[in-house]
Amino acid sequence: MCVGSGGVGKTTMAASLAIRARQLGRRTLVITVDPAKRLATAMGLDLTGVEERIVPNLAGSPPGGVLSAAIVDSKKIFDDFIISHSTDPDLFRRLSKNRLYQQLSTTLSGSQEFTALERLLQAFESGRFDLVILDTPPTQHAIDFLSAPERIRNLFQDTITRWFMNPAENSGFLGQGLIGSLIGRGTRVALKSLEVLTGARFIDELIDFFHSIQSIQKTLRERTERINDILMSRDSTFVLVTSFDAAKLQEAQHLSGHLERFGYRLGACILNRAFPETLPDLAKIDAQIPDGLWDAARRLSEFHARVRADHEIRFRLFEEFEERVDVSVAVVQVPEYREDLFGLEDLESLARFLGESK
Amino acid sequence: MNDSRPPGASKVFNSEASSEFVARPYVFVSGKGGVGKSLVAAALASSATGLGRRTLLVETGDRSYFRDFLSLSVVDHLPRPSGLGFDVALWSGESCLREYVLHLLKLERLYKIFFENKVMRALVNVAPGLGEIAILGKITSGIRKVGPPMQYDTIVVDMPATGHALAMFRAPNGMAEAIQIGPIAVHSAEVDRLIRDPAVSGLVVVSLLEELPVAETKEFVRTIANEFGMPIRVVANRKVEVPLTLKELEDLKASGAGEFAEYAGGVATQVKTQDEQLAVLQAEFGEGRPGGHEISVIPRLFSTQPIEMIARAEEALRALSTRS
Repeated sequence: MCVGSGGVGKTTMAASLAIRARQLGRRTLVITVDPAKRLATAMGLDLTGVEERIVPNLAGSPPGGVLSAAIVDSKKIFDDFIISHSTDPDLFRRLSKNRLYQQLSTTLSGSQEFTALERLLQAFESGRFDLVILDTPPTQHAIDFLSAPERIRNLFQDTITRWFMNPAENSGFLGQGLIGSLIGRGTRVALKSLEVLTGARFIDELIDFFHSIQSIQKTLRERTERINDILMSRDSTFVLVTSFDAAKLQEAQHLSGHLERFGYRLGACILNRAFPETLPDLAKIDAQIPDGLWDAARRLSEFHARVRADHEIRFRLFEEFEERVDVSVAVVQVPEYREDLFGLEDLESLARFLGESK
Repeated sequence: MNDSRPPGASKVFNSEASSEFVARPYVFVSGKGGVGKSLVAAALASSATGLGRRTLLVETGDRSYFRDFLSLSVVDHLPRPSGLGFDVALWSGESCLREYVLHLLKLERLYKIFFENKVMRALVNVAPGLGEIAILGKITSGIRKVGPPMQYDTIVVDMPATGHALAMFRAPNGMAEAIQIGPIAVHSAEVDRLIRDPAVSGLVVVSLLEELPVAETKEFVRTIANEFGMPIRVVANRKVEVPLTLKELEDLKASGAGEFAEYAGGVATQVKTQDEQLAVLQAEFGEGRPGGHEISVIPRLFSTQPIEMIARAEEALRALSTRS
């Protein structure tokens, strides 16, 4: 599980880890939700409209292994989920017309996280891979990712769904019939308030939605629980990706504490864009610098020193971070690449770098 | 329909009668994740303050960035002084919804039943865009004269990243169309009108001079411009200023001076990429384009001092606080 907040290079790291596993001969799948299609671009693959695709042309990788890449299509996974787990053949047709379902399967906060994890579970259950790497959805705060399945699960709680069952049999949704006896007075008042605020049509959609999903709620709950079991087990490990800036480091620290508290295993921390490479002392190589370029070389050397000094300030921030995260966490520092990592070759060399880091 | 300005909106803006970009009631700041939106938002809040406007900097979400960045003891729903002349607040969907529902239901008792109820909490979580509408509703509550009075001339909003920001801007219209009647429908339509009013709302999109952020910026700006007609300014953040010309770098690269030459080559590539990407932004949104504007460029700041960083970003963004 590659986790981290937005803009830290998570997708690149997930792809490189996957390539590393392939270099070691593993059967590997890397799953991304990246809407910018960064993984596909970097790997030179067109992943639109396919479930998954094998990454070809990996030089020097031993036989037996395979590397596949997949992009999560949230809507499709949700739709397939409904179709395959419902006993009611008409359910999908009904649900696809409901505005709440449309939101749930596409833009609702938590839905992308849920479908990414469902995709992970499918890959796990297929038994086709030794390693599955999930590049988690870009969230403002990395912690949001972990609470997403819980949010979805809460929505499908028995207690909640029951309140919305069989409303048509009652004298109005807020009536005194079966539903009136099932829900407490507090809920009735609250629902009445919601009706005042949002209008009856919204309530109708809600009733329709909960009524429709009732038949799959048990499966949905079981799946989210199963995912959580896997994430908690020794089969899973979390890799925290962070960039080298004060705010991101602080957030990474919050996240590592959160993982620990909830019983997840944090296996490694990748510090991206950590330091600029060292530069030889100008005085020692002056013989190699052509006459007319000495002044330019001096300015370049000064520029390099300034960038390095800036990184050294951040190193102190990083040391604080390192002290506070679990000592068993492996910290890998990835140098600041001056170019965007774009092709498969760049990823392969980054993969070797990650693999050689202790 | 965009021309029908709600009562009160024009008054707030025209009282200033100026055309500085930040001298408007609402300045939204967004961009791809990790591009430095928050620094730009803080610098713009500082600019607006410098124009004599009472300014509030708003963070959206559950956790405050500015609390750590500005070393403040508390940043929460209630606006508090930032120490830099403007106030700062953290508004989440839940905190705004709470306030809004209390305002609508009037009775504290009803509101407690509403929010302490498990069903309601789950519904609020799933109801499409309710939290987003509540945040935008809170931001625009001063002009709409709804809820607790707000004494700000400018509110700078540090928005979520592009995708979520777009969902947020779309939420009021979506809600207004979905439910049509009732107070939330009416309020949603008002909020929607305000974010579409070019005299009231403006958007600043932050990008880095790298291929992916620029591509995302292009798409985001086009979408917002088409859908909302909002005045937009594009800001390029963290441009690395290298004290050598490209030719000097390439000559050093060709000099064969080992690692030094290699480093020069790497820096040359970075400079070229930056220039190319800035050219892409300029070709798309620059002064030469119809409706285009100067693209503000903030240099990469070699500093970890927040006050200094904000001041330097503000200096780089002066085009947004100058009369055009």
